[in-house]
Amino acid sequence: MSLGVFTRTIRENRKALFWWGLGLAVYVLINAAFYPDFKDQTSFNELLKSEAVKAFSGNVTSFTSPEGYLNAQIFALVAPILLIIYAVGRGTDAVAGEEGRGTLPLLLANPVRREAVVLQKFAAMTVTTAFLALIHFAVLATFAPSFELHIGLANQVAMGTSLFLLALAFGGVGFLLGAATGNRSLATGVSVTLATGTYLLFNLAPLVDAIEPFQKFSPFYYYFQNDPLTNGLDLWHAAALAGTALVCLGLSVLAFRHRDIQA
Amino acid sequence: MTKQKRPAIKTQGLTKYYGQTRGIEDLDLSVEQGEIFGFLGPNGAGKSTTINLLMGFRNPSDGKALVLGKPIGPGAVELRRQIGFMPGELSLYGDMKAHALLDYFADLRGGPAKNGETGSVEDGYIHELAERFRLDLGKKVKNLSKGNKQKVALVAAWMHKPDLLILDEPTSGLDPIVQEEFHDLVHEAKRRGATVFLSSHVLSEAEHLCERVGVVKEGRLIAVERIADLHARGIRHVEVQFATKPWKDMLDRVEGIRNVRVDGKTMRFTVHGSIDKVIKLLARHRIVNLSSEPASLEEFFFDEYGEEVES
Repeated sequence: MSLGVFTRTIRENRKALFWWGLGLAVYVLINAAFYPDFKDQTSFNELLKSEAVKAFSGNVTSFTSPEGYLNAQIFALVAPILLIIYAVGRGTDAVAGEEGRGTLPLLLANPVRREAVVLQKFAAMTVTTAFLALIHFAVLATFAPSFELHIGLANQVAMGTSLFLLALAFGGVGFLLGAATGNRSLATGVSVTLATGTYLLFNLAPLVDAIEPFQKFSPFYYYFQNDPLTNGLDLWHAAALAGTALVCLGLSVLAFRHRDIQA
Repeated sequence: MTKQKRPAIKTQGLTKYYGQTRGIEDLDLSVEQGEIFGFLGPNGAGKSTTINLLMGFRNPSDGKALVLGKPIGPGAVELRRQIGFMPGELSLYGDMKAHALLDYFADLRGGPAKNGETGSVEDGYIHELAERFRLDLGKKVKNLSKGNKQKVALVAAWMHKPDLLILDEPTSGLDPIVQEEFHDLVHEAKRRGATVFLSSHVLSEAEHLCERVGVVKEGRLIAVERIADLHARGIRHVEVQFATKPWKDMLDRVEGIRNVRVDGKTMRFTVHGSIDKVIKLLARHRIVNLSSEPASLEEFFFDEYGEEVES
């Protein structure tokens, strides 16, 4: 079987991927560089006594420890948001994007299975998202020690993996919605709404009794509850995120296999 | 005609509805192998719907379609090795260079042919076609003119020398020289035994190219005709400039002349059927100029089939 669709999808993303990688790297570097100035200002930790601040800091326990600083500055919000945006963008573009631009009929006129199109495009989304997570990890692992951010490599790998899997889960949702409907705006809108909704759910659940039991429905729970930077990877949590992505992949194949396409 | 072969395309009661909206209704169509078949009708008549069903992009609401003897559908992958396709709405990967796009599709078709393998692309054939079309393969697709984009799509449809070509409005926007080249390609395809199924809303185009045409109107196939027969019944608008003022009833004896109007030395009328007798009659007069244009397809078929469809 030709891997043309996979290769082609990666190739058309090269430039965007480069700029995304550069942006992420710069963001990580700048944050890391400010740590030496920040770490002694322990008064910031007083903030964590406030429930409201706690609510939007994930499960950060200290702002001034290396883990706490990176969690608050990068991993609680900015990094997942950026990677989710990227992955959802790729996921919704895969089928719905081609369909909207009208290139899908010519692609499917070739002797290529629709299942193969889905698998190869999903693989491309997975690889490019993993690449961004890898850049993120590599920059941090390389430069953190020079800025007094001493964190075990295994935990950094755990954090990077969690970040990648979270983004992939939402990318998978976007992919599925696009493959099922062919409508990229709809797929993007619903995915982003789900991401923000479950983000709020994860963070507000400890404060609001009514939604507390539902916290485990949030992918962010499986991303961040275990604090991978401090405690390493929780395999079950990682499996929950990977499983979500896989289920989305399976459903995408089923949804797209026989669907009428816009041509 | 070779009658023993199975038809290249055969549909039975093929029907497609989009919710309540009609796409095509109860289409029974048979296209012989090696035939150049024109699928005609005004915009919105159901031509593209039919092509989308024949390509397996969409599923019929009812009925069935056999292409090259096999049922077509979203999963009919092997069948697509034998089909060359050109979409009506031409959307190509704009950021790719033309050769990269064609190489991509060639790769999906299994790349350059390896000893006798069918359905893949012969080494160098893409460039041969591009040369014939005077198509610059080094340019990005989005920077090409509409006509050149169509050439890219034509090369994509032809490059694997398919047994069946399904072309949705292939020549709208092609410049005349390329149109000639396109006609040559169609005839070459026919010579090697391929079938060409093309849609058009321009009768004159089908006239020059097709052996047989099917006509759809409002989702229904209303006629299947040999072009030779249609020719005999076609309508032409004729304008004649005489050296001296003509009299209005001079053509009355000729069969099939209608709507005669005289304006000074100019006479305008429509001819239904052969123009031969008109020319012979006009030859007795001093003529300054004569122009003859085929009527639009809509006009022709409204005239021919209008009432039939209404009832």
